[in-house]
Amino acid sequence: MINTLALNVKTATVSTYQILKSSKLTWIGTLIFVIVTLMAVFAPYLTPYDPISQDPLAVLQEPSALHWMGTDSYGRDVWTRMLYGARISLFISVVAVVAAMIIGGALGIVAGYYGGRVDMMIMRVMDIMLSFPTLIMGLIVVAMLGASMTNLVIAIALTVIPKFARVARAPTLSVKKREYIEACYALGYSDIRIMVFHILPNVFGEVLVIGSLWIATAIRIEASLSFIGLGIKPPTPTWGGIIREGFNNFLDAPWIATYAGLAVLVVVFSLNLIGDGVRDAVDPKLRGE
Amino acid sequence: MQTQDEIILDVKKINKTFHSKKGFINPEVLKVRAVNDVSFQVKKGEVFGIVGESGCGKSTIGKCIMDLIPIDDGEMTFKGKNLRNLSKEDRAQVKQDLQIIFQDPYSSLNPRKRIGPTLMEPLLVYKIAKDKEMAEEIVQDIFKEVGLPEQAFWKFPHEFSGGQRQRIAIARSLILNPDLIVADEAVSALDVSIQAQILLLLKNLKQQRDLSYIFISHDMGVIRYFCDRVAVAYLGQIVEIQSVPDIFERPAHPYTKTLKEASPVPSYDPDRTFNVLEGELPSPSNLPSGCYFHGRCPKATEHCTKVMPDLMPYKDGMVRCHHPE
Amino acid sequence: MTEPVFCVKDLSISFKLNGKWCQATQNVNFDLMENETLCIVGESGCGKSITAMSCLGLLPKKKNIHIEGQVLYKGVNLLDLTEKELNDYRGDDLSMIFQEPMTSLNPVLTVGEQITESLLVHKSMTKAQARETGIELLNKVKIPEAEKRFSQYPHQFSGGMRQRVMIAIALACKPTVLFADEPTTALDVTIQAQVLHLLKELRRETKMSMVMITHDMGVVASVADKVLVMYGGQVIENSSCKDLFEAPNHPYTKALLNAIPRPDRHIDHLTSIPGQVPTLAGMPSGCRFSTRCELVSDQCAMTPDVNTVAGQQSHHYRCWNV
Repeated sequence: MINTLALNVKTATVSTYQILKSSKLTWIGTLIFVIVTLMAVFAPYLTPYDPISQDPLAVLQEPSALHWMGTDSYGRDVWTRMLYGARISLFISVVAVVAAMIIGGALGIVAGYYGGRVDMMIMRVMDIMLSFPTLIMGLIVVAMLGASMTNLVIAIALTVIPKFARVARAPTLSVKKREYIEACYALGYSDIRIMVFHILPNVFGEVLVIGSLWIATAIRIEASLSFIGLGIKPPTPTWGGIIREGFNNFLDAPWIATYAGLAVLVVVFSLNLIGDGVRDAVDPKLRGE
Repeated sequence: MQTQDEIILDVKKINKTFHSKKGFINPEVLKVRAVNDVSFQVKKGEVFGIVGESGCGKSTIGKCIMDLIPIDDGEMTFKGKNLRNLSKEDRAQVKQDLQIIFQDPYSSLNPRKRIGPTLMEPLLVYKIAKDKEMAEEIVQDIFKEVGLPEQAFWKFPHEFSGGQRQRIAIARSLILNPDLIVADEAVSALDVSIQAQILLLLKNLKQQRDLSYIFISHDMGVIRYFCDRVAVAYLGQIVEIQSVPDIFERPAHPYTKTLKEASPVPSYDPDRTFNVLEGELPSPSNLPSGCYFHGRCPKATEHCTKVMPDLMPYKDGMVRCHHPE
Repeated sequence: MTEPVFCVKDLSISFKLNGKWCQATQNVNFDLMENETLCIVGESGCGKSITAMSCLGLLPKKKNIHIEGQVLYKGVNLLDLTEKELNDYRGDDLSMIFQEPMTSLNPVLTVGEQITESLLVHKSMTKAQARETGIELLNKVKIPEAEKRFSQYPHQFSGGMRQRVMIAIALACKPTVLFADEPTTALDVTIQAQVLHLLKELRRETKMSMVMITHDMGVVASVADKVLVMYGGQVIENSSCKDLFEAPNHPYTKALLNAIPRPDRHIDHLTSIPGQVPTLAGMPSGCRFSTRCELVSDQCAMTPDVNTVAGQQSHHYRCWNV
């Protein structure tokens, strides 16, 4: 009932950067993600061991001063494999999601903007893609193109594209009916210009939030594809691969899967924090709170 | 004014019917004749009003002129160019010369874009400004003209009050230096004191820039103050076109008369009676036969229920009625 | 007869916005006699709707809303009552019509069900009695084919018809005071004229009192006996309808009347009021109109007292410089 008061409270202009800065949780999220990324980049300097060479004398050791996170069934240092695994897992999921974000977002905006038949065609194709389970999609891609890191990225991107198309289409539909878009037609702007400069900013926030969440899921997809041997082949370390190996030895050596799972959890959590912060920061109405 | 009779916009017999489906299993197609055989002319330098109640098609007419809604048939000529058949260069020119101001100052500005860049964009798209600095200069000049502070440039729409947003919308419509502006209920959403500010601003701009307006409104007071000539719309048709003094002093169509008498007057009169029309507005998807107004008209005869009157010259204007006054 | 039926004394309402208390209304006073229509007029954010809502106890009792003063109906201060006690008054002695006829009716209940509901609750009628009264009410608000219309749903009614239904619902229990918050703002002028005419007629018949909230001086002139002009949460002028239009006293009222484009005569020059309508968070101190007033002086930094116009007992204004 209070909203009938027309509480148009004047606010000072605050930049996107200032919003991000003022949100502590976003900072924590960013900090965690940056640290994990840096650790992946500087992996060789953070560990004396090699991630691949096996050591039959140090099989399934508990965490100790020598091996902080213990060793796996081949005697490899889990900490080392986690660091090197982060390189591949993060790379694959970020690249796949960013690609899907661009392609899916564009498709969603085009579908929502033109409506009618274009919308029908694009969204039906998206529905078909959505109906394939991730693993089947992975199987198809790998069967057609062969197993490699690039093809893993393609497989993950293909499963995620329809999600972004949907997320981008909904706000496009509501925004294109607004008078400020009509004002753009009245000014004679081209369709591409309207989509890129006038609709995209209204869609960007939501796509970005979903993007940060899907990076987390992409890590999981990579793990499951690797699990059935369609992804990165052992002994190359990935987080998914480490979890699978740990799973096989869970009763004897619970630390392997636990640490890898925790790593996934921490990264997913940090990405969610970033996603929330980004959503607030790109919405000018929330500025000044 | 020496160019008084130069016609800037000529609208001839335009029609627009909206189709909508009702029901799912066996859809029934509803046809709504939003614009029905509408013709009028706007002279250079005049304010041409379109007045009517909701659903009379006044906004649709405005949007048809702006090419925001494609018309079914008819002809529109703007500065000698046929609007339905424009070459690419002509189209770009027309887009600059013909602008619109919307009713709702809250939804006509993109909430995610700062004011300055929004206003600079058309200048850069049409290459009127060579670079960003020049565009910014032009925008600042227009800010001064419409009474906006310089700091407005880097602000977002939500930081302004309704009146100031409408000033921004006016600034946007002026930026390409148009000849004709369609103002679609441009002051209806504003408080009275702010409405007066905006009306005065529009009036000043008209004089300084030699503009013509098509002023769409439901408010007879605003129409009387602001317009030179006015068309009265009822259920998609124009029922009367006259100069403002004539239409208010000697309304020819019974509907115009009712509209005027139903408008509340802000002065004390203990003997005031309401001119109450019997009956409801017919549904635009199910129009009556004959004259659309006959069901509510005090002067309706048998003839009116059967034959639709044409828009005929009457005195100095036009009227669509079998029994004009 | 000299006792007012409804009276508001020193009503001040504040809201907490972003941790800061903002005063939405300040010391609002009015008396309402039997069979009298009071119009509260003002621009957006002037506190007119809030005043009406607190008269019916519709403001939530929350920590971030602070209400002072009294709202007296038959000697009872409605602000002291609990929600349950208030319900005995609301919809019975006191009822309200809202602005939006499209959203204030429940789309899934028939019009008849909505009209008879308060009769069943407050008057403990049987269903058959309620139905009869309901149809009578529909006839009273001039809805044709009332019997058939009684069992129809809101979407089968036009905007004007729905507002009539709203009026029928509000009148069901024969209220003593009817509050109408912008009842015709969403309607077209010809329909507005019908509804105003209907309200005036019903008032004559039922002897009820009415408080109408509006922003339209034309509507005020058509229906009001007494007028309260509000600006920025203060009542800045309070007089009979005749005095207000013929001899306005406060600079704001004068300016406002000159800012209205009139349908009844040609005006060459419209006077505008400079500046913006103040928001709740940015309310000027002292006289709220001082930032836009042409008569402004140093004194205006203090809230002006209520003055009475010489020779006009019931004509008050709040200004230092008249």
